Amino acid sequence: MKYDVAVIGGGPAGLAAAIKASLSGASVILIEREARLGGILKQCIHDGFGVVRFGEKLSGPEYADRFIKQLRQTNVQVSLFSFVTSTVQDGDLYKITYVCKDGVQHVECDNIILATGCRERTRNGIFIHGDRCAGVYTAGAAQNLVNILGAVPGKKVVILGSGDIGLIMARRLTLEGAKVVGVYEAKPTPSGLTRNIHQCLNDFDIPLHLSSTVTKVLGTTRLERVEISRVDEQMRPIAGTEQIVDCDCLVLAVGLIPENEIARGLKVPLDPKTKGAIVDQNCQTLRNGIYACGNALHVNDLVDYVSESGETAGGAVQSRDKRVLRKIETEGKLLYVVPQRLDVNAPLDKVVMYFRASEELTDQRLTVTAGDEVVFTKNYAKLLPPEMERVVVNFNKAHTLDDFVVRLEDK
Amino acid sequence: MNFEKIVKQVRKKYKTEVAVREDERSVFLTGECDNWADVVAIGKMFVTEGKHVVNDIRLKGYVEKPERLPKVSDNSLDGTDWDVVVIGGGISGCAVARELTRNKLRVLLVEKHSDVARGASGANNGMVHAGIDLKHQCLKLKYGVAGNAIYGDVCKELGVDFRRSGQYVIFDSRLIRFFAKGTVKRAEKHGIPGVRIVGKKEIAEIEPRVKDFAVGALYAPSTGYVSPYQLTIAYAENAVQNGAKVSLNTAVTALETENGNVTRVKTNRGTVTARCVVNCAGVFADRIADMAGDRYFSIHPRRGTDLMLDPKAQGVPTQTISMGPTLKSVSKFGSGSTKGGGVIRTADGNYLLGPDAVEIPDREDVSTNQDSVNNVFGKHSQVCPTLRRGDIIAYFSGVRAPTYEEDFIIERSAKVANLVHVAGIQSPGITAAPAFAKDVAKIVADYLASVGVEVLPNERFDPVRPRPVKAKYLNDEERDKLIKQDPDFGKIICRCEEISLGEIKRAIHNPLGVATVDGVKRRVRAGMGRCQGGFCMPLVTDIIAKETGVDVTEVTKDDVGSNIVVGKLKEVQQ
Repeated sequence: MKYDVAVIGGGPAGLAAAIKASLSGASVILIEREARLGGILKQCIHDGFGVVRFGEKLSGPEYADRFIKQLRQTNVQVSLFSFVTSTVQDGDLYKITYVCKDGVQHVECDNIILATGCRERTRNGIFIHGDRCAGVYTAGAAQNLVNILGAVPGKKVVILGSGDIGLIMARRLTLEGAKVVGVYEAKPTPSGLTRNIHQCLNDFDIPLHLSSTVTKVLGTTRLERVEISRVDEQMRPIAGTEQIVDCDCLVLAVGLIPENEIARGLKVPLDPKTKGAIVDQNCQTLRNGIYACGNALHVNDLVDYVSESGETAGGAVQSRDKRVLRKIETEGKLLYVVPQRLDVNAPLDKVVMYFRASEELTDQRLTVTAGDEVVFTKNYAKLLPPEMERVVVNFNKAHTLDDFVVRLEDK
Repeated sequence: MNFEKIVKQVRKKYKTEVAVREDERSVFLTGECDNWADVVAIGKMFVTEGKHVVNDIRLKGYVEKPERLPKVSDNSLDGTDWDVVVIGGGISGCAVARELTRNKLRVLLVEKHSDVARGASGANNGMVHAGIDLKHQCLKLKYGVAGNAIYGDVCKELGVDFRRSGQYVIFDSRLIRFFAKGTVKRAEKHGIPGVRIVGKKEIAEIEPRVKDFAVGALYAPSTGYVSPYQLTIAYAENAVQNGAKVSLNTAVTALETENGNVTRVKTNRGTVTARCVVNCAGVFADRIADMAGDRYFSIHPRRGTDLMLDPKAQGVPTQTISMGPTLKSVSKFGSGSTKGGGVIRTADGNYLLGPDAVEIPDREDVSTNQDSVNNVFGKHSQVCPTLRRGDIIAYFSGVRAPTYEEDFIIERSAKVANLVHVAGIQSPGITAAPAFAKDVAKIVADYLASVGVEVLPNERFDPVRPRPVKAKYLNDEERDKLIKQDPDFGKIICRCEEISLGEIKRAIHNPLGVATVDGVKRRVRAGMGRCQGGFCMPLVTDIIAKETGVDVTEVTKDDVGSNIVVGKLKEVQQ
């Protein structure tokens, strides 16, 4: 079969991308590796989804359901429990092979939208040493155990990482009768959204210990204890500060990594800062016809923006104009900026840009320039790395479409 | 022999007194030391030709932890009678059990963990050594070379992947290259095929990433790579196929002897009787010997840590390259306590760095630590600076079981007539096991025949253990056909390693009856990839519960007591 677009991944980014591409007249196949659509939203039964987009606080499944219902109104071909095993370029076409319960399937397409989400950093990834016992889980795995399997991973829980998933799981496990001994965070500041610190920790009297990390796990069959150490400014454990905390479960919320196996296979250049693809304002990567969106592009903290980037990609696939790409440089204390390129041959009036500050900052000014011209400025009283910022820039103002720089500086 | 001189040396170097006693087989040491490395070093000083060392020097203030026994107690084995009881389900025990089933014998293998290959056999780098490092005639050399020669055939029979892709031991100086000529000659003498020296230019072409470092290399084409736990599992499964019984979660707690024979084997699952007992107990082999009143050697636990890199890591030497650990000095080559593997491409396509070798007092301490990770990574990134720490996806430790003589002990006990020791099995144990298992089976058969037990060939013996389906490696047509036969093979559960529901179901229903999350992982690699089971662990847990008809709360990671979850929602109380 031949499609205009193959969307890989049926989470919030892929759903939005498939709907938008279909509405723009493209023939679309959506390939999802799990048995149901929705991606990680399926297990996010807490609320807070859709505040930006719908002005409502929905649960994850409710949020996904709105898109799934919309998808059913389109002609998108959905293939579930389908796992992409290879993607190769053949001239202007991409050939995708996937397996599903019906066998090995082959499709051809002009465009691929990568909406493959992200994965969690693991115990080994952050070098927590010690025994090989049960009871050490990533937050997503723990969330799956609780919300999908209906089981409790531990009675006395230590959570490492104050990112949103860690905070949500602290509350969730408390509600299910577990005692959350504490949330430990190696950074000197919390990693999650401020609202989650209040709603998930403070409201439940769960202590947050900053500049501390788990350095060892101990237990013969199941986890019995963890060793906690204070860390220095470089987040290295300080010898002599070790203390032992009894617990039967350690939940790790220590970061997410964009999943880019397929992108790598297609030799799509990645940005070492985002660990996702380098894209233009339409989420098209440096390889023509390959788009990336959602958490595969960069890790978002709100699903609303995941859907937005999916729509951007889905809405752009029908364009046949030749791209003229210019680099967007960054200066100052910016962790990253997406997009990293500007296609000056595409519409430039409403370019959505996402960025994160590299540290906690006050009284900052964001400036976007083209050559010597300032095309956009915005002031920020406070910027936090966990909170992604979004701006819409009109580059049509610029007389010369080159030498683009995004700069963050003291006001 | 007069040990007065050595005792004096110990007094001078280690500031401690050692008492020495000897009998016809062993030298017995007692005393006390302040650190464990000294205990081991002193033990080694007393190694003498033709005798074993039993080292009872204590570490001051150290109380040895009691053996970790399975949290199971029943009578499921009580009163049963066997021709042979094999103690230990590592590569040695499983290979011996399988070789024993070539004869019509009632064979019981007991393993204290919930699966086989849980000790050193499951935590090493899977290198099938050529034997180039071994200088003198010893059992390691005899069985290592013999084992290597039959490895391809054995793995084929047992349906295990094996890749004989050779090993390059890189030299960093011309002097070492000069000395390596002796190694080539020695290899020839020992019957190791094809060993040669490759020049600087050739090695740079084969592996450009070491070009600044290498002035040449020693090439051993017969070195190969196997998944050591999959081979162990395959041996155990084939033994079961051919009539042996494997009893897991079963630990030997005592051996009763009468008139120089083991008469009864006591376990946590009942007491059994046996004509013959084979001690393949790994780090506990000296304890088992002691239980039979036959203590004549000591095991000193030696921990090694390996780091596993993402198979898609960049900057790792290409697949046929591995590097020796002692590149800086030829004098160390072969005399160190580890041959050190190097940078190895495993049979499964991962890259492994390591191992290191650390003497530890606790036989079961497989915990990892920062020092070992740093040492292993530091050493290999010196040779290959393009290695990236961020590509490490997992690391693990195993405890090897060397004797002080650093050679295998494979013999019938001189004191207990029906006890056979297979002890001190360390590197190259994985390589040697297929060869020595055959000899052990012969020792057992000869003994049984000598006491009037009729040993007849097992006519129904089938050496072939079916190779598990690996859907990922099938071509599109074969895979499509398989999925059309059983749609479960089209449903991918483990996304990092591309493992299907069909493969996982088959792994759960294995001949050993191991239905644990790690058991599935060892058999089909679900959970071994980049996400380390973050996505598939809950799914595998659920599949195990459904396939075995138990509640999800009963599913364990590995041993009894390692339950994945502690209860169901609304049932947990603080």
